[in-house]
Amino acid sequence: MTWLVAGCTLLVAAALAGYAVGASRGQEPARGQLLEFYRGILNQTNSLIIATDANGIVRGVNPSAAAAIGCTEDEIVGRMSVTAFVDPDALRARAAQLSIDRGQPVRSPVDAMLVVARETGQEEREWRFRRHDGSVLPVMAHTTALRDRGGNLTGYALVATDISAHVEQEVALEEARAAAERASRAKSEFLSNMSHELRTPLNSVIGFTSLLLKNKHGNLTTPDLLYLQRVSANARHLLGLINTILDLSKVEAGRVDLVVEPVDVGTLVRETLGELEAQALARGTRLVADVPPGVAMLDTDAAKLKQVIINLAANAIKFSERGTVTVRVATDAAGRPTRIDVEDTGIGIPADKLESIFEPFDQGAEGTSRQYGGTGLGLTITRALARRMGFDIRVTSAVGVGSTFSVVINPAPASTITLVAAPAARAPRHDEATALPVAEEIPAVAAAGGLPAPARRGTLKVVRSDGGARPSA
Amino acid sequence: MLPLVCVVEDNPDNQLLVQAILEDRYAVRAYSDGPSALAAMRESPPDVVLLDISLPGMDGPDVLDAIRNDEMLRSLPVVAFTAHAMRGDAEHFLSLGFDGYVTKPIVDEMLLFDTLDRCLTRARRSAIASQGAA
Repeated sequence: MTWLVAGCTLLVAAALAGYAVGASRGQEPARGQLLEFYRGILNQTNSLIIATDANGIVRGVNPSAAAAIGCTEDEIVGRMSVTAFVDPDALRARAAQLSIDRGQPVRSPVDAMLVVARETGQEEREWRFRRHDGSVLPVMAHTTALRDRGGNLTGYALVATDISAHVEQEVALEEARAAAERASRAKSEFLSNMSHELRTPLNSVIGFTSLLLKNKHGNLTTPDLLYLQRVSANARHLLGLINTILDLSKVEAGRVDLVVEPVDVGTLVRETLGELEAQALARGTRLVADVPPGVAMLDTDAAKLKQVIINLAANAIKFSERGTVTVRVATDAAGRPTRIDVEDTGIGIPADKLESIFEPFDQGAEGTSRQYGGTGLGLTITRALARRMGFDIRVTSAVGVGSTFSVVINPAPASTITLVAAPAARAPRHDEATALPVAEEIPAVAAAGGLPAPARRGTLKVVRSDGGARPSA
Repeated sequence: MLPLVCVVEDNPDNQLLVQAILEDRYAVRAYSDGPSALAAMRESPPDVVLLDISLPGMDGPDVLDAIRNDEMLRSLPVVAFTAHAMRGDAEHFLSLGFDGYVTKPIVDEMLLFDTLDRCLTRARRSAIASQGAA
């Protein structure tokens, strides 16, 4: 690109020279035609084209350049320096900068404009040109030093292209970005305040209901207590909604900071399932951790990844009463984790609902919320969190058979547009310390009535000590 | 005799609720603002203070300062009672000189009891220790 501009500049300079002194000498027709051609370009182009002598005195201008400073060609050529086109403040600033860069003062305005081209052959930089009406014209100016065959400096050719549209666009873009940021901050602040305002009265509702439910004076009837339980359950549900909406708004506003460290995904999965033990037992659901041996460490935020797995697995448990939930870590040939699958034997999701379940308040089917509870925001926030980490969530499902939700560690960039904005996950690195053999499939939690509690704990503990570094969660 | 808790909370609903929760285990006196609570405490000091952080006018940390600068009240255990439930808030309040920290809403009243009792035990121990030293 640059050489092209430079080449054009030379041709143009030659044409300008012809323009100034030219055709009267009666050159051969071919050359005259060529000069006509160049002259046509010079007259038509919006670029400001200026040719000077070795001292920076203008020897030729095209109409755009003459129009910019509001003088005729005759008034300019031989009378003005190239610096007449430039905003004096910009010249002074450039002279000061060059003085610092070169360690010796650059005093003359002409030097400020031409010294770099003189010494290195050419220079490309943004300049602020000044128009005759006082307005400033931002240009990208390409300056080339012209030398004769003996290498003596004969002058300079300067081609300046109007970049005001580009500059305006940048300013507009910056303003739009700042406005979006302000709006996002305002939204977060509003949500934070609103959630406080909403929680304060709810605090009272929940608190007084709990007090009444104790039936301290023994004068409430069974139906009374039943109704109070409904009040309490709904108030807690509402509180959960408010908290989740606040969390979601924080993730979406990018206000969730990641603490990235090497994470042993296998250990993290087992720990997470350990925490879901009680929930699974209550539903009679079997929990299985399926982690291959020698999973390499993954650089990510352990607590956030854990939250993603907890959300997916808790969901799976909820929909797989008396079934099995398997959390499986998939790796590539080098043992780097590529996917974490949460597979259930639940009710499944109809194909036409597979995308909309990630939308707020869509749980796949009418009445799901009534039957299974939940805020309807779990998957929305889970996917937002996963994407914040540079991951993605995919789902496959068969109605009546079950669903598999996958945390895709390195999603293909083309898969989702939102990923462009998300920070890319750092490449997982292999860590020898974790390459210890681990049982192919370890039941983190046996089904209800399986292993006694201490034995289950023991299993998890052994796995942990095998698993190398524990992620801080 | 039940230990005396001074509750400073401006929201009347919250005040009533905390009183109801505490009344089986503690003697409770409740105030809606810092100055009236301070005046009453100087009359007869409680055993522990449960202090709302965002009070109108003189806020929680101001009241805490007044307690710590009062010859008679300065060793009183003071528990922060607040809806600020962000990560790092607990550390912040403890660094201000609060002896404990309880969040609203009170989801688990045992947590509230534990915090108050821990402060009471510590205050009793240090009182005994200072008597022994004297």
